[in-house]
Amino acid sequence: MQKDIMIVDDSPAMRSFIKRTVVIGGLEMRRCLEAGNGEEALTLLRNDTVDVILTDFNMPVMDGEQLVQNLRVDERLRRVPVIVISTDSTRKRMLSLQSLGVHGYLCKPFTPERLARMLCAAVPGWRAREIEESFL
Amino acid sequence: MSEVNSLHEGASAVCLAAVPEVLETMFFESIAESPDVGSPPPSGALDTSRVDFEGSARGYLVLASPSSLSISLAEAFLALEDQCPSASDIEFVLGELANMLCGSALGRFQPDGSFRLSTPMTHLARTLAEPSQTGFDWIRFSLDNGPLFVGLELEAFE
Repeated sequence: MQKDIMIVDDSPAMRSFIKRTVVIGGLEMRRCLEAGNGEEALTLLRNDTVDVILTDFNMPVMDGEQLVQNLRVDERLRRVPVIVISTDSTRKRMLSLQSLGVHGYLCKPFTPERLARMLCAAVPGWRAREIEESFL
Repeated sequence: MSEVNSLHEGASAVCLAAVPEVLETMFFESIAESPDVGSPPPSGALDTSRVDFEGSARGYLVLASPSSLSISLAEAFLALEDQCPSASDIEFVLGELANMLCGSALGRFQPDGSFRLSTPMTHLARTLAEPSQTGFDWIRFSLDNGPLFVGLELEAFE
């Protein structure tokens, strides 16, 4: 089943890497919206929605934590699962984001399988095909 | 063993664990031989990237790479086929590598700690000043397209 996702990261190259990793992980996307920071993400979601949001933590203008806070007070978007992807692997950061209601926290580095498992757990009905053999 | 020696060994140990994991997972690169601790980069121009951090500990992580390796890392990370990475592509990828290595090393060093990482400072074809005179042990990782040198300086704890 295809799903709509949003990737929020200030680096276009990292957005492209994450998108590629979702595909390698065996998940089918219908649409992939991209935003450079939390504010851009909220603007894109004003008249739209997605099945899951993958966001960086450290970004200019509006960071990942502020984005999650804004989503959680929006009646229409509050239930959209959010997965934070970051290099910060300290427990303090993970607990702080869990308390905001994020569905997952993925530390870099990560494998396509880990990302796929986390997405499948967060998005009802999303199942991964077998991962491309060349990446095993 | 002095506190300083213990700190150096701790920094080397977390780098030895973090570097292969990041390279294999995110760059599809494997390390050809055992890493060499205490092996500074040679003199001459190298691409470098540095990330400073503060919080539960203060210091910085720095990496140095010959141009051949920087290009292959950028090609792998950006999935470039039949296309050479631009200078800005290489700068971004080396900065991202330094960022991931720093986050991964610090998470191993102090899992309960709290850190703020700076934006990576990356320079292409730069001559390092006195690489053998640093306060940390450089570690040399051998990859197919050249050696990657990584150092982690831990200056102070909270």
